[in-house]
Amino acid sequence: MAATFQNSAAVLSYMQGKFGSANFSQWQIRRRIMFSRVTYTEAGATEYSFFADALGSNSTTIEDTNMPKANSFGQVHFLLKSIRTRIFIKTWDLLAFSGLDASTLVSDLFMGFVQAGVLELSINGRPYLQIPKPFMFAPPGDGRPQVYSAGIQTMVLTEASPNTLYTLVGQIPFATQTSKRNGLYLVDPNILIEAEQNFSCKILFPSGVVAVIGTTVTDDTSNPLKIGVEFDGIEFRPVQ
Amino acid sequence: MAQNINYLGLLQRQIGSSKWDQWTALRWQYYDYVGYPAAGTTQLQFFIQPEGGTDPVTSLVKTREDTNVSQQRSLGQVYYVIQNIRTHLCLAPKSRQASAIKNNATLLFGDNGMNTGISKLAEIMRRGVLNIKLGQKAYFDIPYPLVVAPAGFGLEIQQTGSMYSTASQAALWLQSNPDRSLVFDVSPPQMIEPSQTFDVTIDYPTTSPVLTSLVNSADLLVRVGVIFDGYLARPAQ
Repeated sequence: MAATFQNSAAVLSYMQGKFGSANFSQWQIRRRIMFSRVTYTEAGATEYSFFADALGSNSTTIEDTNMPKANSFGQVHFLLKSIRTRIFIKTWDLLAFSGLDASTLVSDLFMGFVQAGVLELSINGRPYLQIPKPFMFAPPGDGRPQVYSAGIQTMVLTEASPNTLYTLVGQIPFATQTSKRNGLYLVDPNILIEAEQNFSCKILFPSGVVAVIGTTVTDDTSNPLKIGVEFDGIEFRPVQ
Repeated sequence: MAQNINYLGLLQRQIGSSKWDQWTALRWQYYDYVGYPAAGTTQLQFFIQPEGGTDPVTSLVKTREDTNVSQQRSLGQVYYVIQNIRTHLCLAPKSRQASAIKNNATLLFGDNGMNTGISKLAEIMRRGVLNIKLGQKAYFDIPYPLVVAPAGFGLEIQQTGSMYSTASQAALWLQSNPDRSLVFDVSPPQMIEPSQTFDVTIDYPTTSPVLTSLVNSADLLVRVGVIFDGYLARPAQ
């Protein structure tokens, strides 16, 4: 089982009771964000697994994950306090918006995979979280850039007397996951994932795959769309 | 969760004899999304079809994206404390819409796009009463639930875009209010005991807004969800 706690101090007391002989004055705590991101393929998929690769395996880089082991935090305890999801794209040419749904990732936010899915966290095979529409319900709550524009991007008139409107492309659309901190998904009571405890974290689309709409922005090889899950909490580790 | 209440202590005081140190408390959501009938309705029923059941409107099998209850009108063998209630009106993803809608390349920003649908969604949001009964007893009647008990999650939309020709319409968009502080707080929190049956409906005194042939001459697939956010107490393993 994974125990749950209402404050960090109770965790030390729990571990003292459970492990007894350890000298907990020789342990230290630090705030830590454990993160994992994977490619959201343009065709979509019914399941994306997170924290399933240790750093370096399967070509993961330090931007992809900081996991020491697959599906486990290794020799440290981790008290999970909040959970966030995140969407990444290396290059998003906002000016490429042409009015087509495929020309902007805002389409995916409005009516794509962001509006679907369910996040599941299981510890030792037992479900501890089931979050519907996780990209909205568990937003990043961070300092992401705000983009503003106004007015007309392009306008074409038809030659006539007087000239009449032929086409007009208005503002470039822009939307993001929520950056407000009060929208964060707080794990309360906190969940303790103990050292070497096995867990799995997945985002599932059991109602059917949701393909990327903004396909002129993304490219599975050179500019892949990535999705991530982050565990924000407290790490307990031995003092060295 | 704004508060951090010792729910196991609460259960201990209320029920007494069980060995509560062998129970685990978790933050947990129970949710149920149902299809909104394009012809309108006088009642939407929630938590009637568990995961694996069939949505009576869409005729699709309900998956965990739609609901995470495994029994009709019951949460099973757990104690559950409802801390807040959210309702959520949302569109099915474009790829799950009727072919006439999903194949429209300018659905979101063009002048033949979603405008009429979005306008109608705004109408739906102003209607209905959420009724919740535990057993046969009425516990909540929340007016205009999609407004009074909004989802409290969503997107930050800084600007929508548009592309149009002779029609004089800018592209519209709408979402449930994403402000977390606006969800309906259940105060005092409401407990649902193991195997307690309940009924959750949104009722309309006259037929709710009609979505038939609204976008590209096709019915727009809209879903309405009720989400209980609270604490689950279950035996530790």
